[in-house]
Amino acid sequence: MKSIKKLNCSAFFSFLFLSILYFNIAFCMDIEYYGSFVTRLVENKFRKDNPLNPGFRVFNLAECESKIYLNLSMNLSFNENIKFALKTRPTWIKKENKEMGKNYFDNAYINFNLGKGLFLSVGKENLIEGVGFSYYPSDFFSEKKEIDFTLKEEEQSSDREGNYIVRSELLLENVTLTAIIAPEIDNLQEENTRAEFKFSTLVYDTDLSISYFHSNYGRTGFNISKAVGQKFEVHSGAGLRFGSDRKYLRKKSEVGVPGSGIFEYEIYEPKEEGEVFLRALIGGHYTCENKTNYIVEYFYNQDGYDENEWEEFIEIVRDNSSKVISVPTGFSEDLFKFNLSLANSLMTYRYLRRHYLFARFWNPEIYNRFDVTCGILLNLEDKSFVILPTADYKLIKDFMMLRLGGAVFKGDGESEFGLSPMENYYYFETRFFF
Amino acid sequence: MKRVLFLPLLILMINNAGLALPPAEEILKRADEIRAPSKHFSCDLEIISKRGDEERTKKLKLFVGDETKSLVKFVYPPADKGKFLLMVDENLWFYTIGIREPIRITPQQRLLGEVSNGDVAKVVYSVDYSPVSINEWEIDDKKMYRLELVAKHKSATYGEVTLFVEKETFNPYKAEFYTISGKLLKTAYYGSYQLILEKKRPTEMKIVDELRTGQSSIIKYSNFEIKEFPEYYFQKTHLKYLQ
Repeated sequence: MKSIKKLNCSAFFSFLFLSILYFNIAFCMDIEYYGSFVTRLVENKFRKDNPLNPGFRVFNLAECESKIYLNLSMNLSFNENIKFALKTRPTWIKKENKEMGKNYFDNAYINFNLGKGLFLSVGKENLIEGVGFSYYPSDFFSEKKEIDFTLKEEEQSSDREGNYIVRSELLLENVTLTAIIAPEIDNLQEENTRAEFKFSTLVYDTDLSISYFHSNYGRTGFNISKAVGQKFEVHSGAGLRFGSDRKYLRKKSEVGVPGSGIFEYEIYEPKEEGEVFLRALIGGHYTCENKTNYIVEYFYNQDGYDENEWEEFIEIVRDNSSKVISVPTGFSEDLFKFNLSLANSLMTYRYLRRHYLFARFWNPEIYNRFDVTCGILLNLEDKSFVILPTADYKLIKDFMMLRLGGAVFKGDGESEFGLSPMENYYYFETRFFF
Repeated sequence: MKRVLFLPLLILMINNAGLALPPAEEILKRADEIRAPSKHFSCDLEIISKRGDEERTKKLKLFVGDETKSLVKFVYPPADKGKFLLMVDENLWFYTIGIREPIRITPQQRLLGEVSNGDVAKVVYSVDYSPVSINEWEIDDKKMYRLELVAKHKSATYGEVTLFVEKETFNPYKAEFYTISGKLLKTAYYGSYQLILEKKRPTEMKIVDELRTGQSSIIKYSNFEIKEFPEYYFQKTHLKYLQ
């Protein structure tokens, strides 16, 4: 399978190169390309006393990771009305002694300007919807996409594989009507066929958009943003879901003799059709005269666990964690490790709870060279938090950038970020722009 | 006797006629016409920010439609490629291809050095400011009109602007930018006038930071071209189709 993928990849690039060459010669096609070459070293520090991974017995994670990738964007204009957009990320990753290579296609679509403000796009596109920095309640197409949380918030949605879509868009004065279909395609797009209809407008000085998304259950999105005066911007977004993809741990079966009190667990997805779940965000961005920017956002995630659900989850973790350390007589350690691995798989979804506050300040021009950022994501329910600092240094006339960043997770063993297997991570990155 | 009395009266009338100032709106319009060659045009911009011996440069392409709409494409450095700034009336958005939907920004957010978004996206003063007073002034032996402008709406880049326009040519000479509370933020000096599209126009604007001494930036304008762009070109939702 790997060799087939490699073959497809090299065949694709060869085809692309020959096509570009042909169109360039034959039609004097415009080509524009840009991007960056990135090398990144990550140092992870894990919690030894983490209830989800007591004494590192459940899993071992790599303490060092290196990643090298090319972030290439290419735009080909055949004429005023036909354009091809490509964004690809050939990536090489090394974790401890394991190496892997993968090529991601974020965008690879052709766009037709059909005249009178009507546009049609066909291909693969990373659709990004929402007005927030930290949370996207109406970003329905990308809910199941892999996200690199070590990137800066605004970059997390960019390095993300696209969806295969057909989009038509009509641009009228101050009003845009959009229809997008992402069909289910064998071996390419396994998710159900999805469709979205969106209405966007500018009312005086306020951006408004309303969307309806149809898939296994319906969703409605709403976004609003406006500038208030010369320095302040406010935004809000909401996503109403008429169903949920919530996941819980529940007892599957009792192990051993009846009444042993030892259980095997499973992940349970309750059918919650008909119920309405809200995700919402409200925030603002303030710019000071000394160029320092502040962003504060509150968001609500009704898909997250409430107090009782969280208590139940923690109880399962606590119970199985203690049994991994001190295995009850007659039982296998593997059972409790398995139960904890299920709990760990739920932890990979960020935002397990409901109320969060995100705040960030940054100054992009300290001493004309440094861009310093510090963000914090706070779980308002259990007061656990993550601190996200980065410092960028630009050199060689902005052709190169060095970035030092990291994340520090704080909280007790029963809080969301305190339960994270990771205590902190730091990374060093070099970027060459072209 | 009557003639004797009439003569000083006549001189006074002629003199007053010579001193009568043209309407402030007219001066502002003439000064704006020198800065912007047409309601629809494009040009190249180069922003050079200086901090001591160190220089940083950004290159942009500006597209203007109907004076109240403009689109700025970031061309240099490579790290900025794929970025756009869009202004429609008093609304400003920033867009990076493939990163996010266009986001709302404020006119005072800085692009580079002393240059704010509004300094490049807004090409004329009369759209955002109204003159409230006019008087004559003299700088370096040059006779000027001194116009005091106040913001028409809260989203204007500055609360107040004092614009100095050369009396003879209506060439903008300098502009002082103030906050709503009256604090002087920056001073812009227009220079390097060249014959472009049938008129002498400033090809440089030096912006001096009045809050941090010694810091300044220069915006250079070149390659003016009068061109009309389709209406949808200046729509927020069209930004993703721009390459």
